[in-house]
Order: sequence, then C-alpha cells, then structure tokens
Amino acid sequence: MARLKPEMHPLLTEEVINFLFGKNIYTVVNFLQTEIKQICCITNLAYKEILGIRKHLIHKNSAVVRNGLDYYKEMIRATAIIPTGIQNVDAMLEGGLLTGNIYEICGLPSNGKTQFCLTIAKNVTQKLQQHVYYIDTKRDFSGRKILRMLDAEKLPADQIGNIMSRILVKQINTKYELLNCLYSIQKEIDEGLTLRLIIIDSLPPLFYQTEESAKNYGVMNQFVNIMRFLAREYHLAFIVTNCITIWYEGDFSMEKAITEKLGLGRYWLSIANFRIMIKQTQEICKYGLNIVKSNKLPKGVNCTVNINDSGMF
Amino acid sequence: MHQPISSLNLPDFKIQELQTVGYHYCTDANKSEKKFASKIQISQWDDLVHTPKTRSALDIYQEECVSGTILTSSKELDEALGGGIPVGLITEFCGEPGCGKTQVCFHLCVNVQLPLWCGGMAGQSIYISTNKGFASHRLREIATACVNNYLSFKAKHCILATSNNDEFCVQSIMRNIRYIGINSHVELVAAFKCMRHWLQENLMIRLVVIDSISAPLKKTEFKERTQMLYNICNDLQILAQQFKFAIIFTNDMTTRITSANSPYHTPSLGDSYYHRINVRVQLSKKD
Repeated sequence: MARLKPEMHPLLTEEVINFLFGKNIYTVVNFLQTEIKQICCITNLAYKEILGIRKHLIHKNSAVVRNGLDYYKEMIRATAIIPTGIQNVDAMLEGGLLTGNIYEICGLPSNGKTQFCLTIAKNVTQKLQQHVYYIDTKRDFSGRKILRMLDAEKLPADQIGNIMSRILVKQINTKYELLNCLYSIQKEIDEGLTLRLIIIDSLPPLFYQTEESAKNYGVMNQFVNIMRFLAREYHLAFIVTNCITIWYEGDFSMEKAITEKLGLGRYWLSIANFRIMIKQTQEICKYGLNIVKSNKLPKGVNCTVNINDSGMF
Repeated sequence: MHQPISSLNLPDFKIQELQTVGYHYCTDANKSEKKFASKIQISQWDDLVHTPKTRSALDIYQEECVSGTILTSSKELDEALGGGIPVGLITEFCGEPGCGKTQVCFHLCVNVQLPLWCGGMAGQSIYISTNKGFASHRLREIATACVNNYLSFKAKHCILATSNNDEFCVQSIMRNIRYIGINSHVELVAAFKCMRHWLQENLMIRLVVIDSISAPLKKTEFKERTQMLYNICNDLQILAQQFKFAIIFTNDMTTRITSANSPYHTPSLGDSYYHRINVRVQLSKKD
C-alpha cells in the first residue's frame, strides 16, 4: 500500500509520479490495479516499460517465500533463552524467557508484579550486558528500588552506574504513545541497539481510559501486531503485566459468588504465549507463581519465590 | 513494519481523508507536499507521532533524588515509605472514619512548606475537599504546633534568624494552602483544568490533596467509575510529572462479603483502582 516514490524505480520520475497523482493513482496498489493501457496514456511510457515497473513493484512488495529448512536454521541461530536470574522461575520456565514469545504476568494488585519486572530488568542488564526497555505506564518504575537491589549485592559504584544506564525507560500515558514507542524502538534496533527484552509494566491503565470498546480494540489490535512482529522478526521477548480483579456478586444469602477476572477483555486472552499468575501466600514475603497458559510447558507448573527490598529471588 | 496512519490518535474521518489521497503509512508523510499539508496541520502531526523521551534508570534515580520527598511528621511512617511521600506518584491513605486521614493530609500540607534546610520543600499545596471535611481550625492548630517546633529547633541549633526572617509563620502557612470545595465528579474534573492555570503561574505547588476520592465517585454510575478514576489519575500524573508535585488521595472503607459469609472491611472503589494507584497506606485505630 506504500505511496509511489521516485526511489522505487528509475522510470518513475518525479514528473511521471505527478501525472499519476493527478489521476488519483497514489499507491502501489492503485498502480497495480489500473489497466496498463491507461497508465500508458497518463504517463507516456511504453507498454513494455510499465510491464517492467509492475514486475519490479510486485517483486518488491510481496511477501518473501522462505525455505522451511532455512527458516528453521535461522530460528535456531537467532532464538535465545534469556535467564531471568531468579532461580526458581528459571527452573519453572525451563531455562528462562524464550525470545519470540509474549509473557504475561498477572495478579491481584500489590502482589509483586512490578517487583517481578524490576528484578528481571536488573538481572538481565547485569548478567547479559545488554539493554532492556522498560515501558512504564503509571510511574511505578523507581530508580531507588533498582539501586537498593544492586546495593544488596554489594557491587562497586561504577558497575552500578553502568547497569542502571542500560535500563532504558519510557514513561507513557496513552495507548497511542505505546504504539509510537514500539515503532520507535524498532527504528532504534535497526540503527544498532542490542535488545532482547521489552517489559511493559501494566497495560490496563492505557486501555481503561475510555469505554469506547471499538476504538480500544482497534488500538489493541495494532499494538498486538507490532508486538508480535518485533517478537518474531527481531527475536525479542516481551513481558507484559496485567491485573486481576475480584468481583463479588450477590449478597449474604448467596455463596461462591466470587469471580476473578483478568483485565483487558476476551480478545487479550489469546494474545500472550505464556501467562504466569502471581499470588501472595500465607507466609510473609513468599509469593507463588503459577503457569496458567502456555503452549510449551505443562499447565499448572508452579514455584515459590521470596520478595523483599533487594528484589525477587 | 511501517506504522500505519490508522494507529494514530486521529478521528476516523481524518484517517479516511488521508487514505483517499494515498497516505497509508507514517513514513509516507511528507510535510512539504501540498496535499498532505491541506489535510492536516503540521504542528498537529508532530504531536501525533511524538514519542516520549527515553531515559535510563540512572537518569530517573537522579531525578528522584532531586525532587525529594515530603515528610509525614512520623519518623516510622517516613521510613516505611522510603523517606516520605514521593513526588509524581499517587499515595492513598485509607481507613475507617475518624482514624486520622484528614489529619495526615493537614500535616503534609504544613510540612511541605518547611524551608529547604530542614527537610521541607518550601512549596505550596492545593487542597481539594470533596466531603466538606476541611476544618480550618484544626489546620491552624497543626500549623501553630509546627511553627513552634520549627522555632525551637532553630534556636537549639543556633541558626541565625537573620537570613530568612521568618517567612514560616502560621499566617503564611494558611495563605499557602489553596482550598477548593467540590460537590460532584464534574466539578472535580473541572478543577483540574483550573489547576493547570495555577500551576503555570505559580511554580511552587508541591502537593495536591484530594480529601476523599471516593465521595464524588459514589454519585456516578458504577460502569463509568473505572474509566473516570483512570482518567483522573492519568490527568493528575501528567501534571505532576510536569510540575513536580506529590498526589495524595484519601479513601474510605467498604464491606465485602466472601463465600464463607464472613464480611470483612476493605478500601472502597475496587481492585482496578487499587491497581492504578502507586502507594496505599491503611490507617487504623489502636485500642
């Protein structure tokens, strides 16, 4: 659907393009759908030349056919397992976060979702010497908390500074900013940023701002498209947090009227490749993680972690 | 993958207009083309494709250190909060009636005005009262106590009184607290619009209190509530980010019924709201 541009073909000069625009032929699709003879009349190019342009445009704009074996080899070469650095979680996930996948961490409010994200951001930058993108939607990202975690490990100051400068944070307010962010991250990776992990701490604040569900689903669809594209093509892992809310229906006379609801609606249910639920346990500082959805791991695998000021471990 | 124009915050008819003249992707946009400029204003376009700046965790830490925290008058509470009430975040105080939510707010309104050298921010505050619970005589008492403390502290540490010849007195404290009385959620949203003007004139507002966030929302439809709360939080935090102030909400308690038919008390407004706020402090009376 791209707009016609002089760079596309040597015969598509500025002048020719202006003729085409004059006849409401703006995009490659418009060009291909118009009869060749008609284009001949508009542009004064020879039939054969237009045939050449058509061939070139079709070739440039169609999907790439890939050999299954090559694709497999490429995938094996580029896919990585990123250890989260939290022993029990790595064991549960059979090594760590697999690139190309979207991980969703969900739980009731104040059950350690943000702490989970912060710990992973810190561990990955520390152990892999790489950047991590952290998209923060409600200002929960705290430099102090990261510093406290690093202090607990008694690292030298220059190393701490180094680690902290590799955690890249974007603080956003609207769902449209989220889309712009992801596209700009794509540009940054193209320009040479090494990145394997993007964390989005909390989606609901973006999508609960309006009730117009048609608009919301439209934007969510756009978001899912670019997120999946980045995950697959650039071999990234995504961690997204989502909230769970408890709904009480009925009154004293009714029992078992409690339902736990995952945020963001039905469409979202099918998006994440892995869904991990985090829940406080009876013991202080101990939290249970439970895999509720996965296409690779058996359902119901769980582990327990400790959370305190120095992170999750 | 190119960013489609349909992913921008534009009304549907605008998107269609752009598509009929052949603009489908942001990369196609060419500001110098007449057809493009006639459909959309260039300044608006820049806003649409704006991406917030990337900052590193180190930058954010430095900013947190510079912006500081507001002291709560209780050393233990300050420690639990990691130094005091953080700037830019939403801190909620919830509890039963009469357990001191409003009092905590008053303390913060006074403490934020302390001079910089003794842990204050020398800032002003906005107090939005939604439940008519603003007792100015209580505030005056707290201010008087705080000034007395301040003066004795100053005398003890032999700090010369000449330099800042007592800007910090009860009258100035009362003057620097701006009060807004609110009756409904519509007025609350309108108050934010007003606040923007104040903030632009006066750069020293460091604290915004909404005493009882739940009171105006109880009058709204249940379905609208989540959206309204998320918008209120979002609007406030955008302002807080720009003008560097802390946000305090107070909230009351409600009863929830579990399956075992044993009711228990929990803060009002539900889980999705709980998810949105940054810090929650629950107050309760000890026997």
